[in-house]
Amino acid sequence: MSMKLLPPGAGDRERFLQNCIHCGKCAESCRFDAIKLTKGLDPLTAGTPYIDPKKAPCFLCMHCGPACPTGAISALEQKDADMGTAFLNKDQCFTYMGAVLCRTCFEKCPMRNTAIVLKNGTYPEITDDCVGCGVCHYVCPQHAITLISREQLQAKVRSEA
Amino acid sequence: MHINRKIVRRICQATVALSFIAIPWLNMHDIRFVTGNLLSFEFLKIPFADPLAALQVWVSTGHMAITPALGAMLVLTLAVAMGPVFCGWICPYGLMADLVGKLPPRRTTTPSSKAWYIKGTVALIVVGALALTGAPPLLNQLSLPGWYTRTMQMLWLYGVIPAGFWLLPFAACLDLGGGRRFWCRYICPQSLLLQLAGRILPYRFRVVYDPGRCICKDQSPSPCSQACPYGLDPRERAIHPECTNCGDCVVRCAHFGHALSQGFAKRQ
Repeated sequence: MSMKLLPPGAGDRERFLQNCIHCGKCAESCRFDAIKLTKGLDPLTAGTPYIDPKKAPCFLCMHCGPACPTGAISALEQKDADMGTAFLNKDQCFTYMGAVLCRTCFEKCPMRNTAIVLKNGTYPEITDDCVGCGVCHYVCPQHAITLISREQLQAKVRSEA
Repeated sequence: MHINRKIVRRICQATVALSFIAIPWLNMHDIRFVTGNLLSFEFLKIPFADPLAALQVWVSTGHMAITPALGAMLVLTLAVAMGPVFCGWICPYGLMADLVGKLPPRRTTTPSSKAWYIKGTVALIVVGALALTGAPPLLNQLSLPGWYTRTMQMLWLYGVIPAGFWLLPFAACLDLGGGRRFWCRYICPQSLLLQLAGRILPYRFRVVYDPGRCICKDQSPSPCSQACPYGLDPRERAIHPECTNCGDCVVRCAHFGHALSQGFAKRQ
């Protein structure tokens, strides 16, 4: 299943779509070609940006916020990007399995030591500071990391409440 | 070759159309003195924005960021002084519509001044609905200059043509079947605010008619109204809201006594 994220700083999806005027400046400003523009004919979303973390995750360079003219994407710091969150499945992780000392997710995390820490200097652990950029999900050789978008996370919280 | 304003206008239109092919390419190579598309555009840090896009965001969210507000103001200021010159001199679809208008089945448009009011009412209802429902800026999806420039962005960025691009040939087919500038007159929502802005001041840049020099008073349709892409009669005293100041009538009139000229004059 392909999952789509909104650019960092987009916040609530409905508010974001109200403010986006489809100018594409965020996609042009993206240094990692992570931001794509919706192609279809749906008048509500055509031309609005999204990130497909399976193809190219967001590296939290935070260039898209300042490029956005309407404030649909707010100019924020990395820690406030709030795109979603990631979960590590320890049963699948090389390090936890004892197979090999892999720290790919830790090395590649744009917020390493904050969003991903190494417990006892060895075991990767995703903290509550994770903003869901999707880089660890993209690089994990074992596909042990699940990514959940902000929207899915909120739906889950609502259904549990 | 004599340089008349029709040639200048074609050069202007073509330059804009070609620039928007080049802009995404420049951006890709990190040259960013000019960014965006015709919905929101920035040149040397000066913002330009589609006034209708800014209006839609404003009514649907209740607030407006400074950049699009300033950009929309700049664009509207030009329209207050000169009417919807964007449509005749800048819009990439305007160039396409002008060229399509030259194709064989040359149906002259029947000048229906009511069309403008109908289109305005429909757009008003849609914008009003946005205020109530808080929906995204829907009218942007009907913007052909928007889709032309968005297509170029997507082509350079990902090598794909978005579905909205096909609105351009579709609109051209409508023009062929329904008369010149059919899309611009009856569907394009973007020109509305520019046309409204052109009606604010009592004085503005316009086509001026000197009846004393006119040698084809009795002709109907006159050569000037045949030259008009919208089929308007430039000899009317009040400016028609749709007149884009393209100047085609003035160029044609140069062969018929120089009765038409362009300049700042009373609107009525």
